Amino acid sequence: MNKDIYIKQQNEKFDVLVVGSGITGGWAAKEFCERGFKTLMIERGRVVEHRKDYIAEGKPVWEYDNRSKVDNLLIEQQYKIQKDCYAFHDGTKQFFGNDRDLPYETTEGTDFRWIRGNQLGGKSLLWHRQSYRMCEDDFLANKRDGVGNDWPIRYDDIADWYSYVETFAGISGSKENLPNLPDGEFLPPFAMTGPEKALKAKIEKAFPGRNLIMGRTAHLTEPTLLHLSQGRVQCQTRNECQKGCSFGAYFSTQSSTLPAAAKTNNLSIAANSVVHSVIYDETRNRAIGVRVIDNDDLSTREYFADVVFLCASTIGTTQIMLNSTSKKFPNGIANSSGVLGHYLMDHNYNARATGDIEGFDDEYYKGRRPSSCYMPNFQTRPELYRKGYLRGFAYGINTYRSDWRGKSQQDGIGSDFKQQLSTPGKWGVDFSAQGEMLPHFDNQMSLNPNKKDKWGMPLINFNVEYRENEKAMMDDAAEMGAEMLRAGGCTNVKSGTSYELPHRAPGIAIHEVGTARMGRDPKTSVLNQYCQSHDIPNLFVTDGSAYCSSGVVNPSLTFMALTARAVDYCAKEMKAQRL
Amino acid sequence: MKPTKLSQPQRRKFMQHLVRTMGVTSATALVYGSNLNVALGFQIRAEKLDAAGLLFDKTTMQTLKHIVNTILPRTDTPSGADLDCHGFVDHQLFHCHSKSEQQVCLQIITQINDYSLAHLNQSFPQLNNQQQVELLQSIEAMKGFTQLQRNQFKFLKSLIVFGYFTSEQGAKEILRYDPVPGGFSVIPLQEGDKSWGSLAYY
Repeated sequence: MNKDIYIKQQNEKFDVLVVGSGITGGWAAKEFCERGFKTLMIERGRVVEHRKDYIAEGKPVWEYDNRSKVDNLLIEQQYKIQKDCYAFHDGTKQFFGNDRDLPYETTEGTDFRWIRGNQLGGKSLLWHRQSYRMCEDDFLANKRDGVGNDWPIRYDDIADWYSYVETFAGISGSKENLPNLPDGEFLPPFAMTGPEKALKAKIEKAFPGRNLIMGRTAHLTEPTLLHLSQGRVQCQTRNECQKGCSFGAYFSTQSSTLPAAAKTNNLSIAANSVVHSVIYDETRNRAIGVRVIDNDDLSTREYFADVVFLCASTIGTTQIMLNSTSKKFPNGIANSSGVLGHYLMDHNYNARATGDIEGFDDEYYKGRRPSSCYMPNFQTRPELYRKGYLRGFAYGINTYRSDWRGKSQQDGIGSDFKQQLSTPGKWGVDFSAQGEMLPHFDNQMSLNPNKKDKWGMPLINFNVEYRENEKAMMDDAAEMGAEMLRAGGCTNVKSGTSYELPHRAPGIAIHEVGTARMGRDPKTSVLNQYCQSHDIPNLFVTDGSAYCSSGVVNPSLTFMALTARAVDYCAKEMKAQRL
Repeated sequence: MKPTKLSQPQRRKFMQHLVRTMGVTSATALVYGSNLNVALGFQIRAEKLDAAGLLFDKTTMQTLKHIVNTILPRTDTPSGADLDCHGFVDHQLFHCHSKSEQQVCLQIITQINDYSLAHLNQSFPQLNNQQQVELLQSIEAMKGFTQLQRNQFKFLKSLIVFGYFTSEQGAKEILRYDPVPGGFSVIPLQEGDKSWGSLAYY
């Protein structure tokens, strides 16, 4: 990247400030830059340069200090929370937040796992890349169930924006023509294994309406000219994505939106800039800039622009907003409704069913497929809901041949045992549920004004719990998963839930949403349907905070679409001089 | 559905794209590996000593070395001790495991030796191979040992196996190693074919 792009002090006003550089920050910056707006992307963490800073990429396991595991002492001192993330290990720890510097509180009797990626690119470097569209029923769910508030948009409002971001980001997947999981603009899907095809056939026959498909994932299975022009090439199926990928084979800010934004010469980046608050001009009722604390030396500075886009992740954005107080907004900027910080949701990934698959002894695979199979939510409407709870869940479905990791648990001593360890064992499968979490007013993040972190930001207090609906859903998901595995001919079927475990508390799915929700009514929502603040016309929030319900699908693709849509609207409003 | 494995012409095209985007040296290093071998953290010790380790004293280390070689004896591939799995277990427990897990391993190793002395009048390292095998089998069969001891032994055993297959020789030569697979596809498996030693997560 051209060095001139990075700035520190700047008195000149920008057209737009984009706070955050993850999935939504990257998209917002790209969209504004390509429309000719001088844009400043503000990132609280350090610069991570594509390729150059992927320090563990390609490093074989025996070259790590502890064969890819992280040292106890380091975990104890710096990664007590982050260690609970599935992707945390010695090759990825540099992209996780430091828990010592980033403390938070939880209300007694509750738990929350806040996983952070504070660097240029944010969590786009670390994400799991599963990319699905929400369906029409997802947008109608709150209204139908009388829970939370009604989404101010419907599927048709966002469908074209899904297409737009999919084409650019590169999503592999299969067209399935399912009402509960709309198709998109797909690159070819990854291949299914024989056992997966066999399971699919048996389960789909036994349970009409339940489909087992290849996961849709932001990987270039066959890059288009558009992807090659971003400097990205075909996925090599290393499945070591979270170390960073110099092939640019998965979508990240670094691989995709950042080079596109930089190419326009309209982008500047202020890294190491912890946004303290939004600066508000009460006389004009406009956000005019942000106040920043330097990540390293704690000095303060300010950046100014005509428009402010908050894309700092749900919790990051909400913390900034709650901390931006004024006479008019004593409880946080753009918070006349009082709902800011409430209705925090995550997904509930806490039910699992596993089994063995008989046969297919002469089949194996080559390559480490960076995606698994998927069963979309089949309880999308009230008439499809199961007894005892609202809404539904999807399953991530993974099959594999067991190897020495599983076999090392079996009985055996000596040369025969040693021989067995080196060859593939039985096929196994697991169904992992991914459940919706209902919006609940009392699931809240707030600020503790009496305790501050090293940058002087008030500590966040989380008061979030899985409630009866979430628990009943997971109990059912475990049971239903087992039922399907048995119907699929599996043996040794086991199932269970994990929502009671502290390390599986809300937050651990890293799909936080809902704390600055959209809505039609300014009295009960923070944002309008374009992610624009009801209260302050030039303030936008396009990350997960804008959600009204968690839905079931992984949210990042929707974040991208909402962001691109918001920028398009905002740019038109700017040109019409209405902001 | 189309498999994503690359054919030779596709592979050439992929390399051309990559070279164009990042230059020849970086592209080839990324795909074919670099020759840099950085010395870090746990290194297999040339002598595969049974001297005291970070956690274990000399007697424990000697017993562990014999346990390792009983579970994973030398065949047409190296033994566990040839790859210094006993040194690995000591190092890994010290750096990456809790005090209670360290204690579990220390306890079971000591108990194996104690059992050997009490019932066979010799320390575990002094037993012949057949006796060593039978003693460890009796732990798994819970003959003279409890369920708790069986669990403790299984934990130790899984660490030994982890050390074996995450070593360079274990992953690269004893298993099949393919750091940059170039695509995902289904392949046939023949009798005796090895598992992949190149894994994404451990």
